[in-house]
Amino acid sequence: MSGVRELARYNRFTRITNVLLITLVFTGLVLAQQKNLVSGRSLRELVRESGQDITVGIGAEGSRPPQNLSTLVGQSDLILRGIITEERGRLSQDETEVWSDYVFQVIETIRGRGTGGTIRITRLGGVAFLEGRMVTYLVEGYPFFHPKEEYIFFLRKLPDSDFYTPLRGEHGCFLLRDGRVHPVAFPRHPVPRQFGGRAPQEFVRAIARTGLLR
Amino acid sequence: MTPTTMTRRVYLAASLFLFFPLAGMAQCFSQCTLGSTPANTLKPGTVRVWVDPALPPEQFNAAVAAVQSWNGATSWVSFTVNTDRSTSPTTPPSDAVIGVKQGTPPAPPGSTETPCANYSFQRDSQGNIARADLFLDPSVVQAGGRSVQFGVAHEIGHMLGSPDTDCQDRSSTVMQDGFPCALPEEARVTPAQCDKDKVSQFYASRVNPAQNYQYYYYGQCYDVYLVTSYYWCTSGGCTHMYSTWQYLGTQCCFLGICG
Repeated sequence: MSGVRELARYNRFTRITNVLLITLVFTGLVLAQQKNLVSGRSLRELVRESGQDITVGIGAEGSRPPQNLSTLVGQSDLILRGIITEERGRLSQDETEVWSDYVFQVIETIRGRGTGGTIRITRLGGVAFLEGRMVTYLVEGYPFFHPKEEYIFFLRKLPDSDFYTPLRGEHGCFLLRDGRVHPVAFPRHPVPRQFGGRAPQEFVRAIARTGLLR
Repeated sequence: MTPTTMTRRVYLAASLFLFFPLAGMAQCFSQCTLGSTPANTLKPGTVRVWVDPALPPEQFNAAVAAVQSWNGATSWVSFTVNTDRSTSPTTPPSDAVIGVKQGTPPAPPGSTETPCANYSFQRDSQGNIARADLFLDPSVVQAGGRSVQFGVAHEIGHMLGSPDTDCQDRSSTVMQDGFPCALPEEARVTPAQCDKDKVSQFYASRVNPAQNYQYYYYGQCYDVYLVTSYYWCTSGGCTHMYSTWQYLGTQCCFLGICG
């Protein structure tokens, strides 16, 4: 009889210990995984939370700047001069980012096979519409491209997609305006410092001189 | 028409004639003082920084020191940090809040490289950063306190509007870029007076940035443009309609003509 009572007491003790252990583990998990304030959160959730247009983005640590033009040329699938004719912002599938898709009218293929008139370019950052609100997604140091503007892009193809994207983000983008090359990347970096303000044809000749065109 | 009415009309015409050029000039001078302005600003007031207590003690203390080292750089922003290792980033809604933790920093677009540290942010309706997550790559945390201190101080410098810069040389700024995640000995881990002066000057000349803007850095002259983009939005997405370009460099724009 006393054995049965002892067994019952032992079972009760085990149950309490188990409950305590589960509570401790659960609390530990909750504490260990503090919710992010912005990163990875759904833009829909952020819009609902703020009740107004929102602007989000990622910080200034861009891709490492290429040390010379040969690096940019060597890593590109395509180098094109042309004009952006269309732009459209869209949400990523998980609704945590906004991407911009562009139609790019090719004027000159500097590297790569002929692309037949237009190609599609995509990049992180843009503007989209969600629950009646405008969502702007910025990438610091990587401004939006603008339709009707002429650019030289150093591009790489995205796997399993028709889209190309600028190599190393802003470092692969050069606006051509007023007969001058305006690098999109910060002007102190080596390639912008060397070619910013030069004539576009001079820049194209420098690309050819790298000897990496095929 | 009585002479009085006539006089009033002449005055009115003269006022209008003078008003627009003067208003234009005032705008011109306010633009001319801006100079090269980075895009981000932390919301003025008290910024509450929550450092993840799961960081090892040395790294936790280094992160706290990094945050506190920016206090006094500008009277617009002060930082408080959870030195008691409290476990949640509590904040009144009016304050800005930054969470600092180990994690994969947001990767730059078009690259497979992961930065040593970076942040995601949300701006308030005035265009200032109100919330941010600052991530330190595990390799930075593993490298020790100095690397963590540099990473946190450098990123907060960006949030305060400072671009990557070398005030004089690598040892005299915390905003120097291009360091490996395990920080070399010669690197500075606290903001120099030069870094603080830049932040102070920036906040002194700050304006509330318009939404949907980006600054363009042009050529070697550090000219800066303000671009405001207009979009047509439907439930299917937004299409760019047009942009206005406004010159904000050291030159003056007057009645739309920049010289």
